[in-house]
Amino acid sequence: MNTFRVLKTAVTDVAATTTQPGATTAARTGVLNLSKGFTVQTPNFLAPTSRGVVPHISPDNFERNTGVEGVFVALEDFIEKAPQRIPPLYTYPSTLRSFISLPSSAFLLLSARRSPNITCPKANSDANLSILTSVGFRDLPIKDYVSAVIRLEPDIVLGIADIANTVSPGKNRVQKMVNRTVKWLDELLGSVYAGGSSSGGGDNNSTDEKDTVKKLPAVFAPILPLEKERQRFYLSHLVENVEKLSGLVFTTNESVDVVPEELAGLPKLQSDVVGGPHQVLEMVERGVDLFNVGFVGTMTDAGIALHFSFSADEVMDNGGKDKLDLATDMWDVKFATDLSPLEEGCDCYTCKTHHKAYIRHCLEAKEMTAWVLLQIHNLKVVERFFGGVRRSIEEGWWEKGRSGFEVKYTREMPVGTGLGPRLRGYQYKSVGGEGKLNEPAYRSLDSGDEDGL
Amino acid sequence: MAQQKAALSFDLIAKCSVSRARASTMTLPHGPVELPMFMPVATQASLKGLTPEQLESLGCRLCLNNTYHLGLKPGQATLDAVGGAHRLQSWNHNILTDSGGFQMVSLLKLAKITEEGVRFLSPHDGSPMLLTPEHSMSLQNSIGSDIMMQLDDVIATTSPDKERIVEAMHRSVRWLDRCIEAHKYPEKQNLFCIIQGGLDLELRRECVKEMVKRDTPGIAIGGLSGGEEKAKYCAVVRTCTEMLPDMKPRYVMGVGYPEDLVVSVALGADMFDCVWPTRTARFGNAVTSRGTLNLRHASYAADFSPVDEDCDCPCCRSKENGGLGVTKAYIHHLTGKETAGAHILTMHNVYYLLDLMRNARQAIIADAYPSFVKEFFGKIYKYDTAEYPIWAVDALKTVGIDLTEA
Repeated sequence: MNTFRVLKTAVTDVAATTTQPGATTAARTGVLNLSKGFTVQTPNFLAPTSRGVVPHISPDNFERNTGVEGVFVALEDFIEKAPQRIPPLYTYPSTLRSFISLPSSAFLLLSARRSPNITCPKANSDANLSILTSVGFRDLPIKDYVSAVIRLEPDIVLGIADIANTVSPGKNRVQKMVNRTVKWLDELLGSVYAGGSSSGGGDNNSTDEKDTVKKLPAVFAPILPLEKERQRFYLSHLVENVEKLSGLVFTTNESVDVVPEELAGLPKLQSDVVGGPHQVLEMVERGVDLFNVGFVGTMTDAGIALHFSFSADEVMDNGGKDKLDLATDMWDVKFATDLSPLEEGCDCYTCKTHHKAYIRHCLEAKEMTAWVLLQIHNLKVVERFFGGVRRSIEEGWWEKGRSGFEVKYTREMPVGTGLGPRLRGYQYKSVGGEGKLNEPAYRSLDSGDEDGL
Repeated sequence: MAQQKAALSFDLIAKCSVSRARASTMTLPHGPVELPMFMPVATQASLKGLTPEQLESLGCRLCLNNTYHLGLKPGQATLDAVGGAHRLQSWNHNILTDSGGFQMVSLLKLAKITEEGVRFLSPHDGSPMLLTPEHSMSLQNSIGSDIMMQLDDVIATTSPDKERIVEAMHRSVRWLDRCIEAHKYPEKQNLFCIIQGGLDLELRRECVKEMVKRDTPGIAIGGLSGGEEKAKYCAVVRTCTEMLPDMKPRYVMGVGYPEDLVVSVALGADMFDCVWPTRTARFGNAVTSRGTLNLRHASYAADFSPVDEDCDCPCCRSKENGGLGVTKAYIHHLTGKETAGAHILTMHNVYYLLDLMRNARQAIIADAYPSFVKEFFGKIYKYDTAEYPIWAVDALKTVGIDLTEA
């Protein structure tokens, strides 16, 4: 059984409520028990993956040097363009977890697409989702996703939302979005619960059936990026099926506010966290439990080291002066001979073993080790941050911690100045006419017309 | 010629009773290493995406850094400020550095060699620069490598210019003298000489005589692995090892194909380095006991077997046995698309070569090296002796190993 239990809701600070009458916080801690034996304390984060790996982190490093508890894996990363060939993953005799050598300590969430993802030029159809493979766009039949879910045995599976390519879809498109998302969710639920009890919970079934139900993946239903009224039909469908749902997922911050009361007990996943820790805190405040932290990899690729923490420290507000940066660009030449760790007191492998000078050297020399070391550290910073957030709610200092964080740190992440790892086709969408995104590695010294080396 | 100080001790453990293969232990400033051995190349103070912790876990205790690259980035001033390359990369084991001369020739179009040194254009701003034996020593002293290489006059073995080859050999000897003179820390860094002389065996003999007189702590055979015929390569190695003192380590530079290693060990060489295993890993090529596999090939897309079934590296070992259980299909899926794919395969390839030499050492100690060599070739060529490379069969015959006999 996949269950979620809210442990504690943050206490609203009396001082804060007097200035803002009626203000309440939805921040909460909880525990998500997944049927395959994972216990996840929330709020918590998932590390995004690309082609099944947390970027730059080989599975041995994952196990030894990170505390990542869950990963976000997209099926589109495993599908090839040519439709005539069966994706190798579909013929793999074991689970997706085993294919990507995921350490047994981490749970696996399967989504059809990455998050955030690249908008496909072709719209979805009733039976197909448009996806981006490593070599181009194609259709992913919904039925393929549904059957892959059974075979690949993820711990959590996301329902597919039909999201319009336009920012404000018209009435007809919205209706289509709602209808398709309902249909696709039903197909997924039907497949997941096939053989199990149709009522879903399984509590009243015989022991045999109970065992089957026990191994089922947790289904997280998408909330559409629409106003509440426009997806009313869909939301009521979710309420009707609440027994079969183990969570909710959404991509925009606003979507959390459309969740009906009946679904409030489900864990909520924000799958598109690109804004950094301030966005996380804002969403924790609004009751979000799980975060797919896309910003971490972006910072790592830019050669930026994170260093922020969530604490109960007393912070003086001096009008925004002397705010601390959330992160530092390690390309800066001032680190060339700096033998201090990325963050004083950090116990990650990178900080325990290496210094800024080495990381700066590896960036400058475009050695892949730079991103490995930064990613290990950055993931550790985020892990500690979420630990702090959970403690604050448990111990009753959430609001103090949150306002302290606001005062202590600048809002914006630094902008990278150096070159990241080589960009791949599946990481951006060509709009035509842009120059080369990757600089050539070698150039002839004396003339432009002959090859160097 | 004054006796050279050495910062190493060399213990010969065993010699093959048939071939010239030797097993030895060399104790360097950062601990002992077991020979014969392969040394992976961490060109710019990092082994292509691996952390020092990972490299250590593969059993590596001596890796290379390139003087030329470290001289450019991070530069000598930074190296001095940081306190050397060990400190820079947090590597507490041994480091060997080349002299920087090879990259002058391999990477740069306009390298001009005079008696003074190597003239080249700075890749930073195009300004003319000069690498002299003294400058090379100074750089390597700043790096603090456990083994330093002399600056030598490198030319392609395939060069048809006989006179130039003779000149290069003699100049390399003269440069060695300048290097010895300029080396600041002989008590904590070992300077190895490099035997030159192209493919001319007489020249090589002459060079060995001159170099051995200088009594450096170790001896390298250089100028090979530049596209010469394998038979000629073997003849040079054999000619040199014949004359070299037993009690010094012998390093054949730039060699990394498994077959070359196994044959060269039989010919009496102890140490090898090459970028090939790590570079080819980034292209998706796996070095295995059954030959090199190009895992980018579509036929591996749905091959769910380990990269090498006989390999005990962290990637190939099954999950049940505490490994990662990585399949060929997964490497195929990642190659050229995710850096971690390169990291995984780099680990495997480095482990394979380290382990090949560890097993060779065990075989030498057990005085079973000839059968080790036979099994090694047998596995790659499915025991079809007709498929065995002729150069290997011939070279091994000269040291008493007959691959074709059962």
